[in-house]
Amino acid sequence: MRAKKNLIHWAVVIALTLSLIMVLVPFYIVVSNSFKPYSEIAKYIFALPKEFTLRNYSEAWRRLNFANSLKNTAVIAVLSNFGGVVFASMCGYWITRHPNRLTRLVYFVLIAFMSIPFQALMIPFAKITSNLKLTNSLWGLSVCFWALTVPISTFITAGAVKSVPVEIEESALIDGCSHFKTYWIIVFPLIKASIFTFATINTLWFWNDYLMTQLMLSKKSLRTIQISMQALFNEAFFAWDVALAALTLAILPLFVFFVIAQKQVLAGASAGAVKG
Amino acid sequence: MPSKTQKKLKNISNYLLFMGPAVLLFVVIGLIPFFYEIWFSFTNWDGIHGDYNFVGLKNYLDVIRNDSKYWTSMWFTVKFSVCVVVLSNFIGFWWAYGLSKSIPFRNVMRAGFYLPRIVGGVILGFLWRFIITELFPLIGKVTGIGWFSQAWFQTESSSFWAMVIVMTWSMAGYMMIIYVAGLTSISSDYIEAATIDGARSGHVLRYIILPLLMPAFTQCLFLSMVNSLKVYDLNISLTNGNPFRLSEAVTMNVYQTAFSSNKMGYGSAKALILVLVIAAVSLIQVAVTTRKEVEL
Repeated sequence: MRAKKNLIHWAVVIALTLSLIMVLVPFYIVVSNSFKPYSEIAKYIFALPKEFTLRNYSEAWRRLNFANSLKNTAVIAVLSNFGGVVFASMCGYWITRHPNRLTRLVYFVLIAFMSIPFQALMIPFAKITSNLKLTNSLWGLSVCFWALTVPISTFITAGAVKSVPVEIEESALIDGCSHFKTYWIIVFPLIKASIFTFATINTLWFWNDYLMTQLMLSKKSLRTIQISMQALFNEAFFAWDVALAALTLAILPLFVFFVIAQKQVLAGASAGAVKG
Repeated sequence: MPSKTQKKLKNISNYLLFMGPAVLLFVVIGLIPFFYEIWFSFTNWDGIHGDYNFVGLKNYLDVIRNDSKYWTSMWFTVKFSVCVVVLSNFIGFWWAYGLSKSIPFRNVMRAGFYLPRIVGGVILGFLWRFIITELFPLIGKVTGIGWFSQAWFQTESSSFWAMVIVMTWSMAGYMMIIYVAGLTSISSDYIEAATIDGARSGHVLRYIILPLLMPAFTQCLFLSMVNSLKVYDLNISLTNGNPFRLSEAVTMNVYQTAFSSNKMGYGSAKALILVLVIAAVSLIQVAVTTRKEVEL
């Protein structure tokens, strides 16, 4: 009985390890081949580079205009978080603390909107944002991200505020503290973990977004990493050696982010799972 | 003492301060475009000229009657979604179940399985274009399995399976995380009690874990279904519709109609049919799985 149990245990360990290797193989292949000269790539796909070269990287860096794309993407990721962290979190706090017909209606509309895909507003969205002069501007794109992350950020904040005891706020208000100050000085520090959680999942969205970003940014100097990659892969003189280096460059920041914010990413995946 | 009107003014200004910016942004950039899209779907707007006419249900009827291309892409998307839902949930569940045992390096493994999920947008499809065109034929040659050596992206079925494989790779780890959260929320008391009563692990899984995990199933099936039905970035980067627009998912078809052919009204109708399909499928699915959830 015991021997059989041990056997099953090791079978599970081996099965999991093998499937993990299979899941990670694509990363290994792309990264290891990105250091090879063109002639070596297709020949020994699993081998480590025999003739180690960084030429692919310098070429990819130049063709992607990577410094600029990375800068644009980072600016968007930082600016776009402002809306969720400031506006939506205040809104979520107010909804939880002042339950009445108006706040319940707002809450209901926001929740309902979460299940509506971007495709349902995409066509007028392109027109309206251009009329509002939000297109071709990193600020403008960020403002749109503010708007579209309002539902998820409000939802998570409203849930987090429920677990904060209301007595602390009441005594602060009686002492003459304004609502605004009470929120930022007393409540916000207590729900920081939840704020981090939605900021993390939102950041991954901003960073990886393609459909909405390319509707709004058409100027070459404003390209994000995603847009530059799309342009590179559509070029006439496309070759895998440079493309693999470009892929590695594009994935690297995400990888670093994941290693640093792993806890929040995984918490966000299961807690804020309402949003796809 | 502040007067009553003063108090009321203060109250209104607090509402404006706390809810105003978020609600305003959301209404202008989220809600209004949504209602506009519904309105456009009943018009013949071309996206360029200011004038357009209300045409009633004409766009919808045109899609239903004469647009076989659209229904090809709809059928492709539905088939694709069903395959992704089944595969990614099956794999994700077994990973989560395996990781619920005392396994060395559990947390590292969990993060590793999730890693593909952070690769998003068009990068996902481009990465796999290399793997599929360069590695798969090699696997076919070594193992002798002809399926791997087929002409990838040159037949409809090869493009279809390429999409399914990549989406599953991206989705399975995500499903696993939700199943892990579900499994850890099951009190070990139930499992211990059953084991003491002599239940084998197969029975514990079948009669205790699976019924208690139903909320996680509801959530996972919903998420994987909606995400697959919405697919766009992966579509344009991996197959770009090849061959002959046969591997085109609905969003790509809508995008072409609205932004390349400038038929905004017609495109809106197409997009809203997709939204209706998504809503119908997810309502049915949630209703079915929620009914299977057990009360404790």
